[in-house]
Amino acid sequence: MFEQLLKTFDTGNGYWNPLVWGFAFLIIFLIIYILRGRGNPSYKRGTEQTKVFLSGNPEYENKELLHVKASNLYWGWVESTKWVINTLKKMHTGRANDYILWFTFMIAIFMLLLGVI
Amino acid sequence: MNILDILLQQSPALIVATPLLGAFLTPLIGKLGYNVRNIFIIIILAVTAFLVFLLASDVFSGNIHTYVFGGTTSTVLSNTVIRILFEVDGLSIFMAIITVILSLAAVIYSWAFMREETGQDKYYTLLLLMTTGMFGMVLTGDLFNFFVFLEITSIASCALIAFWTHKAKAVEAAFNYMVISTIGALFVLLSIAFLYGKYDALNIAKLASRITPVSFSFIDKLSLILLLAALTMKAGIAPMHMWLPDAYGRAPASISIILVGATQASLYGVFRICFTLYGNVIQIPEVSLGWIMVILGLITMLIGVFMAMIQIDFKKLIAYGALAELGYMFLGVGTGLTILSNPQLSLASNSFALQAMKGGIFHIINDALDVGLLFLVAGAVYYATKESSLNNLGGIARNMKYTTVFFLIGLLAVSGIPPMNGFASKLLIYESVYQLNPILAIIAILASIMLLAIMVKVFYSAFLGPKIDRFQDIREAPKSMLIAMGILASLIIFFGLFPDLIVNTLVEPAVKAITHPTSYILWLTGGV
Amino acid sequence: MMSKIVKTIAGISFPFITIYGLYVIAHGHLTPGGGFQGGAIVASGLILLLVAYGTDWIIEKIKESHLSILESLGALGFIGVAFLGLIFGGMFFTNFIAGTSMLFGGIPTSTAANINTGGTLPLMNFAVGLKVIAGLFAIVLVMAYAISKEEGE
Repeated sequence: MFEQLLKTFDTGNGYWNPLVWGFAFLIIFLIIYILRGRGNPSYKRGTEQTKVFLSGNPEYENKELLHVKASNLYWGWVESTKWVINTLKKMHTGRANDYILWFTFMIAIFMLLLGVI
Repeated sequence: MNILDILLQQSPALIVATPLLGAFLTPLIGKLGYNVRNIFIIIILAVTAFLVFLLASDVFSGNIHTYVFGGTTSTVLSNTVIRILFEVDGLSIFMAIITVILSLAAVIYSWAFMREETGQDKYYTLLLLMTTGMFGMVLTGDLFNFFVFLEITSIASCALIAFWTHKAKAVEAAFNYMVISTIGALFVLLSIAFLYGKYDALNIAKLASRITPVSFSFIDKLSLILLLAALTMKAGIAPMHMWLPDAYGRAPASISIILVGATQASLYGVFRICFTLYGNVIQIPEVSLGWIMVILGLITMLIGVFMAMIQIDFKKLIAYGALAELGYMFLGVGTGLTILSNPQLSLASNSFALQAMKGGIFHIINDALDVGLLFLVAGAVYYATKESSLNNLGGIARNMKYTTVFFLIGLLAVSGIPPMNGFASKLLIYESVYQLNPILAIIAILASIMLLAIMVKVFYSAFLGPKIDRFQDIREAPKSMLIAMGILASLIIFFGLFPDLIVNTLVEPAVKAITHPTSYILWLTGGV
Repeated sequence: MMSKIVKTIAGISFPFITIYGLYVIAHGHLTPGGGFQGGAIVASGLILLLVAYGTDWIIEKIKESHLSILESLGALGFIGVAFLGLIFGGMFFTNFIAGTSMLFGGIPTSTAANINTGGTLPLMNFAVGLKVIAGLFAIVLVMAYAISKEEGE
């Protein structure tokens, strides 16, 4: 039973064993931890060195304003793929009539592909 | 004959009948009090779960179970199949296991989540009816019976989507869902009528044995198209998916999770029709459904991730993520179908067809768990903050530690990061789809990366960030909600850590059942 | 609330409609119709009273919650008969009464309609009839009540 649990998962062309992965993860974590421990311990508390760096802008007094809102995240990606997203948005009208239109359209496509008409 | 044997013999009927009995008893038990009613419902579903696992243990050892309603024996006596008949094979029981896990989680979650609502008796009645419908859909061996259970599921879920009637958008989503499901179901009925007119049978195995390359004609093609179009629409495959994000997003979270199961039951219908009902004619070149499924899967994936990128509403975003996940199942199974239906390809390529099918089927249960967990987390966040827009959320990880951990688990699982369960099935899909065409695998991986980016966006904007005054005093979700999320999260980790065990015990019989339609057909018709 | 003529006529025709509906339910296994159709007829008789005498008058006599209990009992009766089939006949929905000396246990010997046949079918028709009467009437009652409240405001 226990052996069955630990068996390597064969995916046809490769294999995958979560336990080996976990072991590797642990080792990598240890390495990172050691590297982190070798960091510079001689920084000075309470000076400019420990302040938040916001591209040189001053830090807001009201911390709430620091939070980037969800609609502003990935702004660049959304802006550059605007043509796709706007087309898709136009598809999603939210009306039942259009849903049925798409359904009819797909039936027509299936009919063409399977050679009924 | 001891009691377990009797229960096993009766289990296909009892799995459907127990939640049905519970549904009708709920309004009466509801008079006895809040806790009594909820404990009763949990017991009903626990009994159902016991029966499902009892039946599963037998089906996975290679048997196919039949059950004749109103008959005098459990087997079919003569060659004429006129009664309502349940036929349970590996894929059916696989779907039933998903249904029972999801509905148990939903009911446990509802204990606290629905505490302040009115009309709970009706809520639980409909919830159990919906579960009944889903069990019926996956266990039945009769095409008309499938339609009846499809309708039961649609009507119950339609009422449940509109449960928060004070929200106009919930009512609108329910109306759209009602229009869609009624029209879809009527097309299913129409094509069943076509098949009945031509072949004089309603039983799936009987019909499948009569649909042969010789008899294959215009009517068969037409019914195949109508069944396929209607069921893919009910399963939410693009570009007929538009009802799905609305319905998932506007329903209460505990209902969204069962709706995931309901769409997957329709997906089961698609697979059953393509592989079993038309199993004898799968190699006719005109029935080249494999590539259609693959392309629909890709479109679904891409539309899902692109639309999820710009969603602001927490649950709607997860709903689009769920849509992308549906694409993976279609991609995996479609790849399998493409290769299996091509007589020219050698046996060697059959092995990767099987791997693709395994990936696709395995992804069904993974998707149910991952997306279900994310919906429950979204519901918990809504419960605590009364806020569903991601723009107004922030920093709630400070107050809701467990929920944050559960979201993190769901995030990793849904975007296919090891060691969660999503990785194992996606790895299977990538590797086998790559053999068919490398571009497919590339698009699939790309969609997965985008899914990760989307979920990270949610994690950042809702859970991380500075303290927000409004959410200073919010509290962690109640215990019952944490338990429901915990069940799903622990299953996700378990499936992720021991994928080989799960694939061998759960997925392999399902794949075997679906790729060997002859055993399904011959079990009933006895080689005629 | 309608005029006296409507009230009187509704009062006179209500028993006839009810009897006819019950007849359709009871003969469900012999003639066209059955639990659902007969139940709808009885419910329409009740709705006639509702229209003639006004919602407030009916609401005093019948509570919606009582109707929903009746509806549950109808559904329970249906599935209960199915479970009895499992217990006595060995399979879910088995017609365990047919061929016995119990009520409805007779086996038809000629083409002439004999009400003492059908086994569990008449019982299921009764259950469905009860459910449909209660359910349909409850729906209309609630809707009429909501409309009357809206107009009152």
